[in-house]
Amino acid sequence: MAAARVNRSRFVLAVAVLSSLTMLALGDTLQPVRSLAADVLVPVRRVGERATRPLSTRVQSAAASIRGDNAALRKQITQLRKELDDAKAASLRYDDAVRQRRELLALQGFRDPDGMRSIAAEVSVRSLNNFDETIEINQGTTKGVVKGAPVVTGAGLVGVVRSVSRTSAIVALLTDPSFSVGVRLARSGDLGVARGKHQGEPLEVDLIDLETVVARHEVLLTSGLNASPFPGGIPVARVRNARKGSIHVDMTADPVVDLQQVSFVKVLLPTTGSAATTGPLATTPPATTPPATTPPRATRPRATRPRATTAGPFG
Amino acid sequence: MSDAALQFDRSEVAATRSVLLAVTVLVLHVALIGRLTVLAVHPETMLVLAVIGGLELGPSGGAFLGFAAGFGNDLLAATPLGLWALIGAFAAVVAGEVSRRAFVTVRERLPMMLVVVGVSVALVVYTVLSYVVAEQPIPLIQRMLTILAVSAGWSALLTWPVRKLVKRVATIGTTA
Repeated sequence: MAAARVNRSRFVLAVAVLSSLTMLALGDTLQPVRSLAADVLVPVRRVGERATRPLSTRVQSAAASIRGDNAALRKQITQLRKELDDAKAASLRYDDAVRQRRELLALQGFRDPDGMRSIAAEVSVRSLNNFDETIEINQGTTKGVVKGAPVVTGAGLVGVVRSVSRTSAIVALLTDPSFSVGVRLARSGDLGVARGKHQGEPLEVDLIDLETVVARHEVLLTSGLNASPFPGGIPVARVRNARKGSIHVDMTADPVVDLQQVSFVKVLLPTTGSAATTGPLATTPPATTPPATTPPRATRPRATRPRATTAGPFG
Repeated sequence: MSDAALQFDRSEVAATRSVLLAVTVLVLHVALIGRLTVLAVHPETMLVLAVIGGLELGPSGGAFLGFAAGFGNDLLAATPLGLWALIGAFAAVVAGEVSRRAFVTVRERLPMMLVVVGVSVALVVYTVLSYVVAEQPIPLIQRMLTILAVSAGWSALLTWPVRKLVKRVATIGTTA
């Protein structure tokens, strides 16, 4: 009896392992299964999102209040804080509506890059997985969304479409560890590669020349080179920190888009029969993101770039 | 193995029950549980189901439930399909073997501890396998420790309701 049970256990495990390995070997062949599941789960996700949104905003408000607490003042301001929290909770919906309106206005002023068209999408769900930095948007293959399409807001780059189903798409955010994009510095035009690390962590920027002078808060734009899926000139991040490394400048940068608050995005798609553009992306910059004043790389000869000689990377 | 587990194991519809159980928990995770976050860490509901499946149903019944639960997780993740299913099946079998061989008392009295340990080990194995098999970047140490610590808390909280649910499904159609 016990031996039979052990044999059965081994048999079930062997079948499970073989099935898993087969699925792993098939790879993208099984992508339609995931797309189908995503389509089926969309209504469930949205119901959950709507049901939990009021609670979520209250919790966020409470968490923000707790973080700002000062122990010495807590007793004195408890009553006031309570009243303030009540007022905040009451105004959260209004604030959310105002923020969404601002985002929509920014998107409205967004001009598609040459040779590309864009479709607007709403962020329906954030990642339910601890190892991915993704969002789900409410547009899919029926609207022409394809894997690898850049996703932007009026402020700048959000990420790239990682997988797409009929009615929705998963977007890998800038901060996803698997994400990387070619960038150029707005002032010097020097090229590098920005990589995501994780939510809350700045982007890591590699391959910036040691001689380059980097200004604090300098804007990094997509380079649009080497058949990149990203058109050139999209704001990506602002320089947080830079120091000279052994071969390159070690740089970190903060995304220009607040990825935790983004509600509406645009997916950039190539127009039929046209190649991806490398021209600058014209956007209406929101109040929080001043526009890059530097002309695009093509109009700025490399020889005129400022160079540091003995100073550190920050000019 | 308990009577309920034996009944579940012998039942011709055990596989169907496992699938339905996994789907139910997946829907709950997608609609509600997965939205809870502490330090940007979600509960690993499907892994908890896999480990509890192993503890309650034994290695063979648990393996199928673990596979189904892992496959549910696969549908939500961006890694290649099959990776979570593999982890779920292994987690369930190991949990089933451990509880059957040596830790019956622990299983009955401290199931929470076994679930927490099982989920934590499964997460570490997943991280390594996703790097080796799917070439996914390994999270920073600090982030990984945060995921493990917070997941342990979530798993502890989920143990009781998920265990009740598994036991309930296992005893459907049986006399007390």
